[in-house]
Amino acid sequence: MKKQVTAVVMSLFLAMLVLAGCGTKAPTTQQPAQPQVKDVILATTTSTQDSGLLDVLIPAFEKKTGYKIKTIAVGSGQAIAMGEKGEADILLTHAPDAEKKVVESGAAINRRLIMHNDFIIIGPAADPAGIKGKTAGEAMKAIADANSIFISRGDNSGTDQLEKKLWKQVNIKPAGSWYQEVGTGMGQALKIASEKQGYILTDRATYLAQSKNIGMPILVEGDAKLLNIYHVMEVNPAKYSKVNAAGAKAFADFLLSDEGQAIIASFGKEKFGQPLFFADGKKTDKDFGL
Amino acid sequence: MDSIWQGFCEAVRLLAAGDPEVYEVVLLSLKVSGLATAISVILGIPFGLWLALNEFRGKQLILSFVNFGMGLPPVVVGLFVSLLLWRYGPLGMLGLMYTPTAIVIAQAVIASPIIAGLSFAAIGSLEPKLRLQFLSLGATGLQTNWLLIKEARLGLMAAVMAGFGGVVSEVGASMMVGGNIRGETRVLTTATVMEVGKGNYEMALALSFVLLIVAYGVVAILTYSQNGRRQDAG
Amino acid sequence: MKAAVIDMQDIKSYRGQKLVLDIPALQFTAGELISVIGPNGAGKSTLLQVVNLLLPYKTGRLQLFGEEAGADPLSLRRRCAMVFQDSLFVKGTVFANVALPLQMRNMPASMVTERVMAVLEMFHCTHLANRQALRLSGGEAKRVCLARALACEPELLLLDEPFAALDPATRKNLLIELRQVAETKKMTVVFVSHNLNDVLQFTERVIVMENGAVVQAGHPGDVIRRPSSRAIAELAGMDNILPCQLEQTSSGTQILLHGGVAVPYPAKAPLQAKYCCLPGDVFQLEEPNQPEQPDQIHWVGTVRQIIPGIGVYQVVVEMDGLALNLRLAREQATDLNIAQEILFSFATEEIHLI
Repeated sequence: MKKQVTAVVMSLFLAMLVLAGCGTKAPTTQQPAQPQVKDVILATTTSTQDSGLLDVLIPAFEKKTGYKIKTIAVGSGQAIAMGEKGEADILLTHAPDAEKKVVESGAAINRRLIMHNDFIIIGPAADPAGIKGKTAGEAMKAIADANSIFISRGDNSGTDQLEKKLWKQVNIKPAGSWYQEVGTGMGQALKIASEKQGYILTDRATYLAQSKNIGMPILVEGDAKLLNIYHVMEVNPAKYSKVNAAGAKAFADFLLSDEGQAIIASFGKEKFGQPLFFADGKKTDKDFGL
Repeated sequence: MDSIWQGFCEAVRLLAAGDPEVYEVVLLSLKVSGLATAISVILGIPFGLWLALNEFRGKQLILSFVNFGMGLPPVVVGLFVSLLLWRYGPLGMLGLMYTPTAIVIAQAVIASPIIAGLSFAAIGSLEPKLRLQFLSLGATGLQTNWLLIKEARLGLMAAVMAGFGGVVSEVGASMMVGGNIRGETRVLTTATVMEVGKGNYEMALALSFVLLIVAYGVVAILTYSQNGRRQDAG
Repeated sequence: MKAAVIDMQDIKSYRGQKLVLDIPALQFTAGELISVIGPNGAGKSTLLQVVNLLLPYKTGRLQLFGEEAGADPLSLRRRCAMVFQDSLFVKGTVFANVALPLQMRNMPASMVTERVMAVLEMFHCTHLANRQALRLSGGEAKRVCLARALACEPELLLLDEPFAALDPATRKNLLIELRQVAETKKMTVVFVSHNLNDVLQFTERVIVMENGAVVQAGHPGDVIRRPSSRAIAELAGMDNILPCQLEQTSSGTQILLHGGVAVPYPAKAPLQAKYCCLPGDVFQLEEPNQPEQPDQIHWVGTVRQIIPGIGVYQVVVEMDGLALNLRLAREQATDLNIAQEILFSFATEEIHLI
């Protein structure tokens, strides 16, 4: 009995070794002209991935071009850092100030506007700081004055960078036990805010996906300062020779193509009754006053 | 308590219904951790044996490093392996970053000291004259080592289980060198963390239970082969 | 001249910095049965392990069966077998354990079965063949160990205190069986023990070791009566080891014992003598007022204890503060009473100084 079990275990291990060796998937049926270097590393943010948009965009792109996108979803800070080191091929982020710096440093090129959605401030239904209906800046000031619990991402993500920008604009340096920096993804941060009944700045997409679990209403929305603008940037092949420049350009072009923009514009309509993103391929930064 | 039970039921349902994404993730977890454990066994057991049977200056120092290695934080290992495998890192030309191979490498680094250290303890606690008896019966060096391994199989199996358990459950290194890419490097642990990050606690719980069930399955098989039938253990 | 099975020249072996074995010259011939005795730490196990090519030696030359040891240690080792004090088995049946050395030599399975059963038969343990080896009793386990050692028909058998953990009856039986097998097979046997009775029964040649060196060699009888050091005297069970001092007088050497007792020593005294040894059987009871014969010493003492035995009794006698152990015939001893004063004598030539 023991010998048989040992034999089973050994063959399981051997099977795993064999399986691990042939790890590639079966080729897709229709293939356009195969690109030279197939893998394209896309560095993007967790909220972008969590929204589910990429799960629709990427397969469409891969089917069309034969490239293979490797999505690395991290905070905006880390995504941009990867670009600065040449460890990614293309960046899809929503942190305009940081993005501009990267273009200035020459690490990224072809920064193009793709889409936007917006941020909202949610909080307890009782609204102890009384922020409902205020502008973004006024709301933040009110929360600080009331020392109401505020949950911050604290992770240099796009959301976090916007939040810090808003504080700066009202000349407040948030500090104290009411201001809690969590260092997690958006979904989990929302859960924490719900548990602690605190205010939190969030993107609308994640909020819509989670709203039944959160149980907190939208209190502030529509302020121009709350726009969440997404740009795509290609990592500069002149600076980093190992970058898959052709693949990066192809993906960026796809995002701006009619097909890509159509996918973006319609995403979420079925599930939430409203699209999660607005396609802005035809617009420029000036349209948003950036 | 309610959601724990729900999570468990969901896990069973996912496995029974053959949910393709879940199965993809389970299979990859098993492949990657199984291969990493196998590599660590090939490296760790002979090294542990050699350490146990030889005396030399600096043995204590090497031992201290092996024991220290048993407690290496996986996320630290992930970071160091990343530094090596990044495109502009020393091994960047291999193009291994964000592939299952990278995870296997990181996990092998994590599991090898565990298996080496526990093998050393298992062989070291054998009766010291046993080796001399084998040699005097006419065994070659290789035969002696194999006989010692067989005699220490209880402790060595425990080492293998500890090594496997250590890597199938780690998330820091897998996340860092694998990137949690859907269909490519998403394993049970990174998928669970992602679902938690999204706030999908039910799915996270379900995946956790799947991980526990899978890990238990493997360890149960190993345990049964470790102990065989009662009378064999003599 | 018979071939030398073991030939050691200038062998020195170290453990770290310590010299644990120092043998200028030692030879064992084929078919000899030799015992090696000595106190703990004497180097007996080290000697066996060096001979079995399990321990390295730093200098010197070792030849086994006429061949240099360094050339092909494995094949030389396979012509020997060693049995240790602990019964060292692998998990499995007795059959599996005894078959192990045969399988190591790639013997075909049918031959293995035949040989295993034959050797188990030799030591009367065929009925144990299917038992779990690790569950055997002390005596059974030892038989199986011996059987295993002989399974490959070794020319040289090395035994490192194999019977130390057994009770006297089992030990005696195994020794007898072992001797018979050894003589039948014409094996050379080196038997390490610190039980002198085993040695007396088993061999005609004894080597005494202390601190890694051979300090005495010869017939067991000689070692018992004339041990070369105090440690060996104690090991050999010398009855009386009396601290003494030597004094040179005009008439010769005097041995001064405690309590003011002086004994003339007839022979040339060794330069440094600290102890005076007297085996218990040198004493004779004398009738009161017997005159002293030349080269004989008469002592008077008080009986303190009478310890019975088979044939010979031990009588403890006190004299001037000295406690002496006498071995007297049963008939004589039973006539004595505690606190009785007796006159006893011994010949001075029986004195052994160390």
